[in-house]
Parts: sequence; C-alpha cells; structure tokens
Amino acid sequence: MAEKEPLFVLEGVGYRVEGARILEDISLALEEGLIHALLGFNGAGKTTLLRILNLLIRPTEGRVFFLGQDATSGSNDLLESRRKMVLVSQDPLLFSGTVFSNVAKGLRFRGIGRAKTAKRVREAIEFVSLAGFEDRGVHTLSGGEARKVALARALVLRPRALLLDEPTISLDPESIKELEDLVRRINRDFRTTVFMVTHDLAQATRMAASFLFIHQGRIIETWRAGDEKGGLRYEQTRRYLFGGPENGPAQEGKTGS
Amino acid sequence: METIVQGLKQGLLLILSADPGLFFIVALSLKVSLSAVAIAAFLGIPFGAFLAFSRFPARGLLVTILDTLMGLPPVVVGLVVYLVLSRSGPLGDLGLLFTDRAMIIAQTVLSFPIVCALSLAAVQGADPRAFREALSLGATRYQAVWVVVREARLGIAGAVLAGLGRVVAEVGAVMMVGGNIAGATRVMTTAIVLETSMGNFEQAIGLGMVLIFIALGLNLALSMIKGGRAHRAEGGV
Repeated sequence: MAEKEPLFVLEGVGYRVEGARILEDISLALEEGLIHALLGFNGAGKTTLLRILNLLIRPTEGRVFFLGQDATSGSNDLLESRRKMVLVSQDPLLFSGTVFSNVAKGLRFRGIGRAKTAKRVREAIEFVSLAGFEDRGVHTLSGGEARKVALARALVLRPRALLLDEPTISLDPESIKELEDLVRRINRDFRTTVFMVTHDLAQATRMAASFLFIHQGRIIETWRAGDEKGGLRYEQTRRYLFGGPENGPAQEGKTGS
Repeated sequence: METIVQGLKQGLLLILSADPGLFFIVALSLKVSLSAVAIAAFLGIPFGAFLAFSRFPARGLLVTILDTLMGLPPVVVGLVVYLVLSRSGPLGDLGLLFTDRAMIIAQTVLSFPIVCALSLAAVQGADPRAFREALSLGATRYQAVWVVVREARLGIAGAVLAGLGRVVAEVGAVMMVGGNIAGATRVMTTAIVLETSMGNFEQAIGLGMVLIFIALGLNLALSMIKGGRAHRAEGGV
C-alpha cells in the first residue's frame, strides 16, 4: 500500500521580520489524522509557525506544501487552502453577537445557505455540549464555554486540519479535561488532523501521537509517543521534558544551542 | 431678566402650539443636517475603514489633513461652497446656490472629516484579533474587513452622531450658501440669528430650546452608546 501523502510539508522554512530571525530552516512533514504537539520555550517561534501553517503569513524563506500544493508559489489560491483548516488562537475572539452567529460565521463566509447553516451550527453546538446556548450573547459565557464556542466555530467547517494555539491556557482543571476530550473526539470522529501548541507537557503526552520540539526558531527534535525516554538527541529537549527545576527561557542560556 | 423669562414662556407656548412656521424651520433643519450626515457617512465610513487597513506613502499626510479638517471653520466652508456654486463658479450652471441642496453640500463638507476620522479611529481601535480570526475562519480579505467594521460599529455610530452634532448647530455655512430665505432655506440657527437681530426673542428662544433639545438628545444617544460599550467591555449582558 502506498504511503499516505503528508497533510503539511515544510521545506527549509524561515521567517524574518525587521531583521529578527523568528524561524530558521524548518523542514517537516505532518502525517494526516494524528494529533501533533509542538513544544518549546516562550519565544521559540511556535505561534509564528502556526500562522505559517495556517497560510496567514508567508515564510520569507522555503516552501510550504498543503495537500501536495505549494502554498508559497504565489500562483495558488490560498483562500481555498485556508478554508480547509482553522486556527483557534490561545485567546480566541468571539465576535459580538450570539453563540449561534459566531458558530455560523465561517459558513456564512463560504456562502452556505441558511437552512444548511442552521443544521450544521446546531450539530456543532451540540457536539461541544452547549445545546441550548444558541441565543446566548457571547459576553455572558465563561472562559471554558467561550473556548468551546471557538472549537464549535472551527469544527462546523469540517476542516482537514485544526491548528490550536495553547487551547486550554488559563482554564480550570475540569474545563481543561472537557476541552481535551473534545479535541480528541474531533480528531477521532472527523479524522481531523490536530496540530497543537502547548506548554503543558502532561497534556501533550495525554493527547498527542507525534511531538515536535522547537528551540530558537528551529525544530530540533521530533519523536513519536513512547520514544522520548531513549531516543532524544538534544540536551534542550531532555531538559524541557524531564530536566531542571523549571522549564523556562532562563534555562536556554545554560543549555546552549 | 424679564425678557428672558417672557421669551422662555412664549417660546414654550410656540413649541406646544405646534406653530407651523416653527415646525417648517425645524423640519428643514433636520432634513438638511440628516441628509448631509447620511452622505458623509456613506462616503466617510468606507474611506475611514480603507485608511485603517491600508498602508501607502501618503496615508499619514491624508490622516493629518483629515484631522485638521475636523476643525474647519464653517464660514470658510461656506465661502468655498459659495464660490463653487455661485454663477461664475465651476458648478454655477447647476443653480444650486441659495437652495436647501447647497446647504446639504456645505454641511456634508463640514461633517465628512469628522465622520471619516472618527470612523478610522473606531476601526483602528477594534480588537486586532478580529481580522485574523475572520481570515482563519475562511473569510476573504473584504469579508474580514467587514467583520472588523461590524465590531467597531458602536464607535462608528458615535462618529455619525458627532458629525450630526457638528452640523445641526452650525450657522455660518448655511447662512452663506442658503441665504436664510423664509420658507425655503431658513433653518433653526439662521432663524435664531435673524429673529434676535429683529428683537423677536420669543421665536428665537423657542427655536433655541428645540435646538438644545436636539443637542441633548444627541448627547444622550452618545452616552448610551458609550455606556453600552463600557458595559460590554466589563462582561455585562
């Protein structure tokens, strides 16, 4: 059986802004259908990499392929590619209005009809266990409920890839568990590839099958679940995963690069 | 003092009796000012949003010019519009001078910079995540801009009301291009000037009271908009 084509392929991707190097020489292939976790210290370039994957920013070097198409060639229609994925940011903005209007937003951008939109929106709201919240104003929602609406707003679009930037940051343990279950169900039920940035190592271990470690703008290590004990090559990754009293940027200087 | 009290009494009586002359002047004032602000909003809101999203070399200069025009003296606008519409002016053949349409043009010129500059500020002040979130949900660039404009709609409504506040109480420009012709171009402010100069304080005070009520209504509307926004920012319903 032929090997399945990766969802994303990055070749030598770099990103510089105003002379500062944010990402450098990133080459990777993300297998479809898995939950991938991107780990790394603050300022390592995680969010920038997410935005490049989401085709919101163009890398200054290298090429990005999504579903086999070069998204950096300039000739391809990025809108069509972008519409096959959704990025949920760490502090998602819900547009003023109701839960329903928020979840319907992406479908309206795509010109989907009213009846079909209503049906899919209700299904998505039900999927995230917020049935009955359709007409609630978004300003009345708790932090956990707002994240669920952001997830419903994404999954209603049935994306091939769901990009999550620290999806459970500043939530209580119960909400974290609910959100994690939801993401797992989205991955399992819809075969949606999930690429999540997280600082929570335990969460990454609970959820992901594939791991990437980014350090000072470079992906220096990738591994599969269970391989981390013996297979890690770099001191920085080992320190982030197991070592040191704290996992923070202060350690970067000590570990060297 | 007695004149003022007397004037207030008779002014109130004029309002309560729905005096046809007074009614015409008030209606014409509202027609001119609302039309002018509607045109200014139609042109100024999109232009403000365009300036908020675009980056080009002359953008900074344009914004500075807009900010400067916000304080444009009405008599200067009146003079320019007068010269443009006068018989020897470039649009003299249209015969608009001393008509209500000339007053609408003058007030549009006066309110456009206010509506545009404040709309620009409102769009720039909207949550910067709105644009990115919309793009991430599959919006085209225009759809994403529209989402941001919608998020800034309270600020934009404030811009329109500020534009209306500017023109409804303005006297210089409408006097110059309208001519203060009774039954044709006489509006509240020009009528107050005329009645006062003629010693008809009752009529002047009655009109002044209506003008104050309108100004009060505008400010109340602005306060309600600001109040609603603050309430939402605090997470209220």
